[in-house]
Amino acid sequence: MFRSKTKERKSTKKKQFFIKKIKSCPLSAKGSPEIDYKNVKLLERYISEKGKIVPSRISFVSSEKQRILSREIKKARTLALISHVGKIR
Amino acid sequence: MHLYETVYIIKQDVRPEDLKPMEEKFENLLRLKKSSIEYKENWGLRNLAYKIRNNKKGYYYFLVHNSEPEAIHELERNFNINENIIRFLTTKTNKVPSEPTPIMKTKIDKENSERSIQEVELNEKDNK
Repeated sequence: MFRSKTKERKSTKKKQFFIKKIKSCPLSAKGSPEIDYKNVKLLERYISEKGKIVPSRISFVSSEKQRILSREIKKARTLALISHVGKIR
Repeated sequence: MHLYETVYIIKQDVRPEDLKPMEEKFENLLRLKKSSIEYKENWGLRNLAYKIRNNKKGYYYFLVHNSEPEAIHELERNFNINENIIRFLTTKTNKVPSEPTPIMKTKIDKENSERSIQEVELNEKDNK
């Protein structure tokens, strides 16, 4: 299709060079699974290779959910569902 | 009266015949204290994530019960006395699970897949 050059120029000017990425909390979205010490698969996503809890500034979990997460991870650790020192069993 | 969840782990080297009476013993103990058992699961033999008193595996049991605080004191006292119990954890909850817990689900899936494989093998043998 034919397009006038002037129109194209206008559109390019409006383009943003830096797009702000706003990442929302993956655990507080609708339909997200409940955080529970029995759900080991979910908890393992928020554990580092060495078995540490991933900080919320990296995982983007909201502070409210992060508190619950850390509590549930610690429960799972006492029941030997998750290791204290590593992901690999 | 409150809803509580209890998970306890029995040693691996207990004879399989003795597991049933042990489970019943704890349930009866709760019933004696006028608490009702709402839901229970048997997660079976699982690998422990780390060694506990030189045990690598353990039988997991899961209970949801409606009971008084005294009943839980009594239950935990018995857990502490019993040598075959490695670990236990009691927490408050607000609802009875309507479907099997994630751990139980994976166990059921595993069993089903194993069974289906066996069935396929049997069918192949029949065909031959």
